[in-house]
Amino acid sequence: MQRWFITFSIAIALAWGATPALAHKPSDSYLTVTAMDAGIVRIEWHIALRDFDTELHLDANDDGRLTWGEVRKRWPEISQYAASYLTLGHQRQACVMQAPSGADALPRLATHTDGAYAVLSWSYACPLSAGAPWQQVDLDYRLFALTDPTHRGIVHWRSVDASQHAHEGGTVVLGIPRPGHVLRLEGLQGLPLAGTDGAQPSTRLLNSYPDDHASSTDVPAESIWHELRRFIEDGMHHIAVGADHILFLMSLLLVSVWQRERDGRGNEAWQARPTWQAAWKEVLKLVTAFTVAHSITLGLASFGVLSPPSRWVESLIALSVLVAAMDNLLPIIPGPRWLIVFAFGLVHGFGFASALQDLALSGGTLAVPLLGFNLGVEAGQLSLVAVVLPLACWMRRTRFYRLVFVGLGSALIAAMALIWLIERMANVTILGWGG
Amino acid sequence: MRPLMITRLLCITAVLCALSGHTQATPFTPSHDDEVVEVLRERPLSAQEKQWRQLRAQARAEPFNAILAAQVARQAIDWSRHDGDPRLMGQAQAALSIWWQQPNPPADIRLLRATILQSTHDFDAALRDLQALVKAQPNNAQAWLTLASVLQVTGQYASARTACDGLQQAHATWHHQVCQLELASLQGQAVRAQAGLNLLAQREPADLTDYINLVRAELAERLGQASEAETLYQGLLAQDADAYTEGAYADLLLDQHRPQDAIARLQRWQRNDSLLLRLAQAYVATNDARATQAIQALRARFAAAHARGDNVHRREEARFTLHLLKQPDKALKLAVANWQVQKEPADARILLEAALAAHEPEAAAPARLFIQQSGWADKRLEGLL
Repeated sequence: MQRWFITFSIAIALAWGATPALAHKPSDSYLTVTAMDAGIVRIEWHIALRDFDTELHLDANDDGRLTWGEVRKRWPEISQYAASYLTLGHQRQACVMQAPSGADALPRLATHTDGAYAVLSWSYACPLSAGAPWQQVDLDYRLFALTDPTHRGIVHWRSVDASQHAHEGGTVVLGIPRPGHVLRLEGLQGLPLAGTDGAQPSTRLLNSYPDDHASSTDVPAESIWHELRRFIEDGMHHIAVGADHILFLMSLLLVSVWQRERDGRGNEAWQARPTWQAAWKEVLKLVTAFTVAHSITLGLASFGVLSPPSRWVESLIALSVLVAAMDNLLPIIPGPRWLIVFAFGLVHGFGFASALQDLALSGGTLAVPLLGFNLGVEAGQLSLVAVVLPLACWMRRTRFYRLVFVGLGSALIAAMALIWLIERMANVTILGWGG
Repeated sequence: MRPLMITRLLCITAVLCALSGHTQATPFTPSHDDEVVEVLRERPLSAQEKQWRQLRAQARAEPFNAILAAQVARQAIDWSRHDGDPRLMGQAQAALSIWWQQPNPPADIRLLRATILQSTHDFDAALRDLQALVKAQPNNAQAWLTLASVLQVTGQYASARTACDGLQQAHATWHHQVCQLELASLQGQAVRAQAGLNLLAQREPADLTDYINLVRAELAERLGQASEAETLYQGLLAQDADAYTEGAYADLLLDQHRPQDAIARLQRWQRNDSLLLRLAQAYVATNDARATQAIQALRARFAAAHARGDNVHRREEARFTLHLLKQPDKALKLAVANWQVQKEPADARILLEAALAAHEPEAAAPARLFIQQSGWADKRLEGLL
């Protein structure tokens, strides 16, 4: 029935069967968003101390009991941590967080059904031109994305107009599977943004709060260079372990030292390019097309503009490898190669994005990782080109290259890609490698 | 107003408050720094937990290291299963996030992913992973065992039997026997299975004792041998009480009309919803004034689960709705929905009870048919059929 807590003496030291039902409350936070007059949005946010402890280790003496002193002393960090995972905008322009002051800065708690919660409150100033009504507030919620992807924010929104009339909005549940939401607000007039020292809200969206406060806390902030380097490494790693990306590039590189020419009977056939320069030029064209394309979709997906289902993306990537390899054997791609490479580059970009997203990044800190990851992917690709292309150039006129490298190689790549395609489309395992 | 209507109104109010949320909990500021504001656990942080935190930090620094990720996840799953805490399951999932959406993650990772999926009752996804695993690695005993278990819980006995046989293929002979005997006990051979398990219990390797004794305890309970079951439960709980066994034993105590004993055991488990449910039942049975508070807490917790869209606790919620809120119609709906997902004796029991109380015995017909076809022997269900 429900358990099987046993220990295997064989092979593995874990042993669970099905389902001791999870019987506690899972991790939730309660966020109330109130849009007010003059472009101001107030929030009150209740977040479990238990959840903060998991991430920030609040229990200084490790005795399992959180005292008020232990919590109070870490309050700026608690508040900053939460703030960096919530962004608000109005009509795609960022709202600027106002550092908590006065009553907002006072640490408070609230009791919910599963224990004590920190109560955080502050305001945002949204850019609304004089007399313009509220349209919609964009909300992006990624709290505890790194700690617990099953965490949810239960967001309740309302509005209060100048004469203090409250209008109830609604309730929405946000979390990693669906972090963004647009709150619709009607009937409220906004006023020009005041007291933001002329800061450009849209440029401050990505780093308004954490940067302002990073120096005032004990958390060692990772330097931008260090972070960039880490993501470059991640990008390179992704290429190095992503067999499908490598094989796609390989397929392209193998015949980049050749060109298609019509023979006497009007059939297209491969001929070695006359010069090295011609081959390098072709590679430059292909790599540029691929890079531009995947950069576009990587960016779009990372900022949440587009997120196609990963099964289709993965299947299309497999298809791209198949088509590229097949085209080496028989001409099936109409038109110039760089065009189709551009199209498939778009698909691969989504694949990179899901790898990047799996690093569980928040929207507020995406710029550096995106740049770093992309540079890493580029570096990975270029090193492949650097190894393969000279060899291909050198051997391009030999029979061995034609039969073994291009013929056999492309056939093997095509076979591999076909298996991936079936695996990914039908969600089955055939080889269990390179997925 | 009749009492039933008052209860209903209270319930509706509670749900509305929980939905409109937050407003219900009034912020306050504690007055002294040494005031304890939250008990994270009833003991200090263990060395093992400290080590795990370091491991997690290391795993985050090396996001593609599957070995580290698996270590972090495995430990979190172990703890989560022990206490029934979904937060830890969520942290296990976080450790696997790189591989979470991949169609073909490494085998270790895939097994952990399946374990997490079944814990949130995503049985279909778990089964897909497990079936792919055993196909790729017929020697993966843990995958076979988990597969057999999910199939058994969901009432697919024929496939469960095949999965049990897989254990033999994987050279886990002892587990194979327990697996087969437990299945047999649910398929018309309870007495023979009990004899087999008793025999196994005398010869088994020590690390299987707990596993076999839990199977034996539950079987004894189904056969109406309360004292035998009690001895076994007490033996299990004496070493390292986990939430699952504690709940099973509490049910036995409640069935035996010994709510005081249940109260004594369950006091320290109030953070756990299903154990709080049993505690509330015991309070009600003893006319304890603390019942009201426990019922309020449960109501708020189920409302919170609804607010986030969870359906994992339908069995417990049906039980709460029937026995504590006394709303048989609503309980029946929950029990019917639960039966479509899980088919264990406890699921059949709450469905039969709710159908009787709601005067709609027909609603439990699928369970009756299932019980008859598979050949369950369960004394607790006899009066309900």
